Amino acid sequence: MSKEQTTDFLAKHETDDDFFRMMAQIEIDALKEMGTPEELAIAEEKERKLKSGIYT
Amino acid sequence: MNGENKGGKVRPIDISKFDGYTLEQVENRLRNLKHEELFVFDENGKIIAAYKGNATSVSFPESIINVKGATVTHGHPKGAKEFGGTFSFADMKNMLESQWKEHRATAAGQGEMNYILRKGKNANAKGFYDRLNKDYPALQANISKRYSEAYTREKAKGTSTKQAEHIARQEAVGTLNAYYKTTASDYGYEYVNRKKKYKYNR
Repeated sequence: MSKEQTTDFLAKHETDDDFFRMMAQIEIDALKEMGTPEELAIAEEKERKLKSGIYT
Repeated sequence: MNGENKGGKVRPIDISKFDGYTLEQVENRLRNLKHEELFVFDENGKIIAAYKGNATSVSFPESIINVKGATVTHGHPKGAKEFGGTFSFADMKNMLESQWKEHRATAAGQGEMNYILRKGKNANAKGFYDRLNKDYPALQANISKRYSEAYTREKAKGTSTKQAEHIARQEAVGTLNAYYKTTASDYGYEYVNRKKKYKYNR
């Protein structure tokens, strides 16, 4: 066993959905980075949906 | 897409109604659907199995992974972002763990037709898998950076939020497309991005 093992990131992506969730989080982060009230409100709504399993 | 043991209910499709369908005919069908479907062709181009999924995923039995020489195609519907996109990490993982010779994602967004990954004679699946894992953190960071830059740029130009999201998604996923293109050949795979209608010749 080597001291530095590569984490199996791919194993965490079992379905296409995992990719969509990753993209949804990226979108939320971008909206938050913009930081306008409109964007923060959209980010909040998207975050709420993501937590409920809606991410498209 | 995902295997049976990795989550999701497997919903087989009666393939008798697709008897004699070519790959092109199947993919034309996939482009017009709002849900994902997956078709498995054997080495002789005959459909041997098909599965129905939902808008964002399709499940298939684990045994499909072991069909040697198969051509597997599945749809990436446009969805809210009007863009299907290339292989997800799950799609890549499935191909690299399989005995398939060709894996295809069929999309219908603007400027999209097919994303194709073909296994060459001396393909090194484990090497490619390990490389993807090694590059994953940087790749994910790059996708995020590209998305953020594109979104910010478009909003500064006065583009609507919906359109800015569409453009940013296209550019961000384009990062992944470019990565697959440059990396696949290092491991004996061919990655092709078909953007326009073309002759299948099979």
